[in-house]
Amino acid sequence: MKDFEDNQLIEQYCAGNDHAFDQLYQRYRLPVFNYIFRQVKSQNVADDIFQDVWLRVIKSLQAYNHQGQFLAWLFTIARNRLTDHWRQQKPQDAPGSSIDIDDEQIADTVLAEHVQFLKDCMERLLALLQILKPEQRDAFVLQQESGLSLEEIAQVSNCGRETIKSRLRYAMNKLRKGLEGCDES
Amino acid sequence: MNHDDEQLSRLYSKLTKAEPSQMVDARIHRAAQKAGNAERKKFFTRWVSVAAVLVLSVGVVLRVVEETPVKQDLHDQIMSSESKQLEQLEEAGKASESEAFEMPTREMPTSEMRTNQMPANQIPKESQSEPVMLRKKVAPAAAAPNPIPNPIWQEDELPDKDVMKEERVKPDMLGSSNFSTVADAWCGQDDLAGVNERQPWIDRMEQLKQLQKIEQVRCIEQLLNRNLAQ
Repeated sequence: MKDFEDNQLIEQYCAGNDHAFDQLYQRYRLPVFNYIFRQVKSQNVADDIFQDVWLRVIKSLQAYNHQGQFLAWLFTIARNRLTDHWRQQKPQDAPGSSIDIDDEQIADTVLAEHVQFLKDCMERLLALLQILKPEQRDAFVLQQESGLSLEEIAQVSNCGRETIKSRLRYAMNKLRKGLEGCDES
Repeated sequence: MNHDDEQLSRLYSKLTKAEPSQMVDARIHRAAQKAGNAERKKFFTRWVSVAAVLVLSVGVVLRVVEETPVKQDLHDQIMSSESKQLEQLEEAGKASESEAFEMPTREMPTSEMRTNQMPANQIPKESQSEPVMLRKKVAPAAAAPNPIPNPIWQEDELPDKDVMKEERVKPDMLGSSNFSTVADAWCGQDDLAGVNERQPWIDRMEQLKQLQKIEQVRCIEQLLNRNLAQ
């Protein structure tokens, strides 16, 4: 139903109804922005990437084929743009690149450092997200923000379903470990 | 998704949602409107151009359809008039051909006979003023010449018509080699037979002028002009 509505809005926009685009934008504005923001950690950078993503969407909407799911297509564009962003960055700025040691050790260290400063579990979650491996974080945030299925995430990430499943399992395990004691939050 | 995963998702959903800046929102909206307008413009332009092409095509087709009968009529008219003209020309050509071939052989000897028989001042004005017909002239079909008996030959001495035609030389086909033959036969200057140079004939013309043999002068003059021009 949602797909149909998305496609309907796109058709209306292509037919000249600007309000249809507004609706579409409002529907996916926050998920897309948060997907970007959770990974780049900077409002300005996230703004730039987000704007670029939607400009690409606008440019490509006229040629959009309505067979696929719009949401998956939108997040594919966002993910590709993020990949471009990481490529443009210096190696030390790449996400997680400064952390070479064992994940559990990192988690312990970061948690030990951050727990002193973070007051609640959400802040701890945010900190944990930053120490996840980029592909694990990407898979986790993508799943949380878009609500796409494993197959769709695999399609967006251009890899196999099992790979995504594995990445998500690793990400969940690390986060759960870091968030022990936050069950009631 | 197990219980732990659900808890994690719940916790994640409680995270403060970051929002893009209003400036970015405004830019995206503007870009969307601009793209929509451009697309509408393109759409409109495309259909206008399609409509224009259609209108032009229909116009061209209509014009072609309208003009085709007129052209056909004109073509028919032209063809009929041309065929008529061709017929006339053919008839006239036949007439003039026979005239052109026959006139000099008939007239020149006749005039010469006349001039030989009577003094120059007694030559009728008609024959003086009339040029010798050497060129083909277009004559109406009705005016085809009646056969005139050749005065040179007696009736019983007349050669076969085919033989006569073979013996005659068409003026149009005159070359310098047979000039003297024709001039001799048509202008009656047998003492210059075989002379294909210009000067002796010019001298002869001067003599003839002095003798006021105008027809012979003109005959030689025309033959010279024609022959030397080739």
